[in-house]
Amino acid sequence: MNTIALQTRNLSFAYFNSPVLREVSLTLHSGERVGLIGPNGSGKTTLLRCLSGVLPPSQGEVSLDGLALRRLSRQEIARRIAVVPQELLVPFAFTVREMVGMGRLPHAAPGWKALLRGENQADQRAVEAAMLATGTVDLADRLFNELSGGERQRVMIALALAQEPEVLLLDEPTVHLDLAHQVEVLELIAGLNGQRGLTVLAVLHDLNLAALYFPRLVLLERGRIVAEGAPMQVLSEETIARVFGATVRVQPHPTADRPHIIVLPG
Amino acid sequence: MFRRNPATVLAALTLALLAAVVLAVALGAVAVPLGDIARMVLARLAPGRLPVTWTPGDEVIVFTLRLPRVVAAALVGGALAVAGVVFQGLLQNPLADPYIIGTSGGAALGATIALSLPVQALWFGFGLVPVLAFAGAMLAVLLVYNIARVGARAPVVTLLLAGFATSSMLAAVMSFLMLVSGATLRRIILWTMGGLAVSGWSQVAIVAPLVLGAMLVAGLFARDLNAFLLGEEEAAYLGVNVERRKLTLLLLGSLLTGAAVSLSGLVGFVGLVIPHVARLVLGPDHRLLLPASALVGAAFLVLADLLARSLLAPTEIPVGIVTALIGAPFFIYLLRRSKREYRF
Repeated sequence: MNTIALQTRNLSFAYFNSPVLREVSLTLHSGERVGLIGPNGSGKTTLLRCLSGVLPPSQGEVSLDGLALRRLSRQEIARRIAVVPQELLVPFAFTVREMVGMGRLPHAAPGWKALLRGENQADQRAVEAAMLATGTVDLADRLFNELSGGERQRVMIALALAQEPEVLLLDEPTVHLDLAHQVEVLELIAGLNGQRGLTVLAVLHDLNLAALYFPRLVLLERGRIVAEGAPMQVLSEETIARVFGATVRVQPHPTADRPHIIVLPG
Repeated sequence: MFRRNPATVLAALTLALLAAVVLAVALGAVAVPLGDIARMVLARLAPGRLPVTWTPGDEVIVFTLRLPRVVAAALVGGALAVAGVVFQGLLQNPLADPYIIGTSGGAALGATIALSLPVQALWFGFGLVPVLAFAGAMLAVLLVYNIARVGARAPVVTLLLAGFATSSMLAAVMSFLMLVSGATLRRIILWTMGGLAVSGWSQVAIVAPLVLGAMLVAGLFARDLNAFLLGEEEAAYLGVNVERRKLTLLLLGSLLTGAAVSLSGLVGFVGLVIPHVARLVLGPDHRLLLPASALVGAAFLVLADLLARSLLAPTEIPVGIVTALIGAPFFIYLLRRSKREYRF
């Protein structure tokens, strides 16, 4: 399990003249589950966009399985990297099955024959498998717009799974969810990583959940990686105070072998 | 996969279009019996075999006056409907219509200039007005795209705003020209209301392959359009080359609109509402929505034109007025009947 899935070296990115990412070097090994954390504005979402190939870096490059992303077509990248954005606002009445079916677009053959034939067996199998893995089979004929936040998140993950990717990138998958659904989604992601060997990188804002569900954390501050490693190493009181500006106490979690951050009010 | 069997739906719509065409050819200021029409058509296909039961006058009416006009109506209706679907998907905006990106402003200005010039020209049956209208539409879109472009990207919101600004500017120039136009003012206004007084086949013969070709190519991008509805970022994650596809679709939509406008002037309502009618019944999947909208738009305009030339015969009501007067109440009825809260 030591093949490198996704890697960047000295990646920099600037929106017009303001630098957002500075010389970020990150390696994701195949089958890893990594949490990307950091305060607001540290560049987490931008890094995700660069890693997915949607944003071309100003400096440095991203390589997928050893190939430079720049050299691959958008469709080829989408067959291997799937991204789950924070939310999808779709003012059109698609059903859940139609939404998940869109995940097959990267695998669609161009031209009229494929269009007329419609979905083939491989497509149908991938869609069913994705809905099964995310527990969304019961929602198949419901309208995506009418679902709750947790249900939509699961459908969006199913959409990404339908792409049959090697790498799954998630942007704050729990941000609008209540506690039970946050746990549900993170358990789902951990399961997908454990059972299928899917390489996962997730941007997270909740440090405790990140510590619990991700064996490796990467801490970003103002566009630079300032800490990387096991949660116990990365989440120290001094680091949190310095980077997040919050005074906390870090104690071992009561049941898991992970740190637990306790906010100190006042 | 599809909510209804697509083959059945498309077959039914095609039959509806054919029925509308036949009706429109038979009816009008002079009613031509259906039987005669059938025999006339068969006689063209198998000359000399059938006894002639119709008058030469009727034959002229059918083949030189009505059929080209009806075919033109079908082409314009289909083109505007497909352009509407394309722009609504591309701009992720249910309120988009084919004219939103500056095409109407450019075409109207082109037509106004043509009508104001004391020049008479004819190229392949096209006078100065259709040619300048088409050119105006295409140039306006290119202008809008270049205004909205930042490097290699043209964000959707910027396109919409640039379209609005450009249309306003072109409309102002056109208003000035109308002010100084004198006698041609009435012709300019009639052009902006839309009309299908096509004579002969020459214009239709040139526009038809353009429209049908553009529709076919647009159909190829049906799945990409579906992805666009999820937003540009998500479409990129799904492997769509967003900027390239956006430009292609913009050009296709503008070509369809420009071609339609060159035949009929500005016919409103079709491009905005027909896609919604189709979506209400068939859902938003473009693989079915595109061909269905083309057929519904074609049939709708054929019938609207029939009414436009028959209601107050021999005066012709501009067809744009008919499309709005008939189409709007029907759309309101559909909205009220829709059992769920309306989701595009």
